Amino acid sequence: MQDDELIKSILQGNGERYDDIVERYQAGLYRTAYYYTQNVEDARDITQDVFIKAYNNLAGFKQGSTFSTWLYRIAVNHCIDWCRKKKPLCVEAAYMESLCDEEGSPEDLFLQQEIASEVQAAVCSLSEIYSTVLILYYFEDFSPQQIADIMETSKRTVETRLFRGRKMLRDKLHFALSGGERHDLLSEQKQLAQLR
Amino acid sequence: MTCYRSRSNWHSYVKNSLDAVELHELTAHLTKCPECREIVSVIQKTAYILAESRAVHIPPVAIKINVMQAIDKSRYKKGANSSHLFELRNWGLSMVAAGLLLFALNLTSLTPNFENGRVAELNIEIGRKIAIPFDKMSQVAHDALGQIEALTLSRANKN
Repeated sequence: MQDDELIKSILQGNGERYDDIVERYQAGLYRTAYYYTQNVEDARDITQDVFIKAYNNLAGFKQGSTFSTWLYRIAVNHCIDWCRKKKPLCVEAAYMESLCDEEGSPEDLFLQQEIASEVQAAVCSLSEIYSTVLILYYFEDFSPQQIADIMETSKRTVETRLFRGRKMLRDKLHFALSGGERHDLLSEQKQLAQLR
Repeated sequence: MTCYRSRSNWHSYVKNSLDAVELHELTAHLTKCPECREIVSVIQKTAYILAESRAVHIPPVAIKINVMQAIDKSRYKKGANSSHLFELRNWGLSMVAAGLLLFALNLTSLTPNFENGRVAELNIEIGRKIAIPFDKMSQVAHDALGQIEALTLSRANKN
């Protein structure tokens, strides 16, 4: 069932159908929240709050517009508010927790987690306007137009922020890895050099 | 030299989210501009690398349970809505009535010579009406006491 059909059904009094909405979007919202908070407890709380807020304001959702955009707008605003109140220290990301089992040797997995950790920390350390566009574009697979709708800005602004944000991210990652002590930098830097 | 197209919608191009006209224009431009081809290539590589490094987080099961427990599932039911509206309407009417009463009292204080005089007259009138039955009761009681006293005296004389 499409989002708009589900929303219509919920607004007709079938509140239990919201279960399907939560199931459909919880992974994306949780991941997004995690990129901002860098810890599972706050990411979980934010995700729950966003779903509850969205449900209570569902009558204000304009039929015909995209539900995912509307939902992510609530989520991004919530995350930005959270960051302004309680910006986490991004030095050590909690990359070992809550990670999915993946194929590969333990060494490969560890290396991948290391890189993921560095990338997350670097994204998190950028200012909100850049981290938000990078998260939505590269991790949540939104187009610049959708990001513009979520952030209530122009597509041109999003394109510009993506260009600038990518350069900032490249500099952060280059700095983090070249100054690190606990990495096998060669393989990682080969990858990161491609960001330039 | 920087191409005038270098700041175009290349991120949209990579996501394949352009309209047909713009897509055709940018595709045609790419065939003759190595600088813009490099930009597109970098965006694609970045997307690939970040997708590879994307940590896959499994949302806790508690999220769905907590959300479904927290929401009012009957919030959008018509019955629930109408009863809620009914309560609101009653509450609103009560507030309007209270407001009118306060307004009337304020008017009384604004026109003391006229309104207070009328209120005083009304008070006196009401007082009179209330006093009538009490006067009658008092008269009856007085008569009864007089009769009791007369009976007591006549018994005392007989003895």
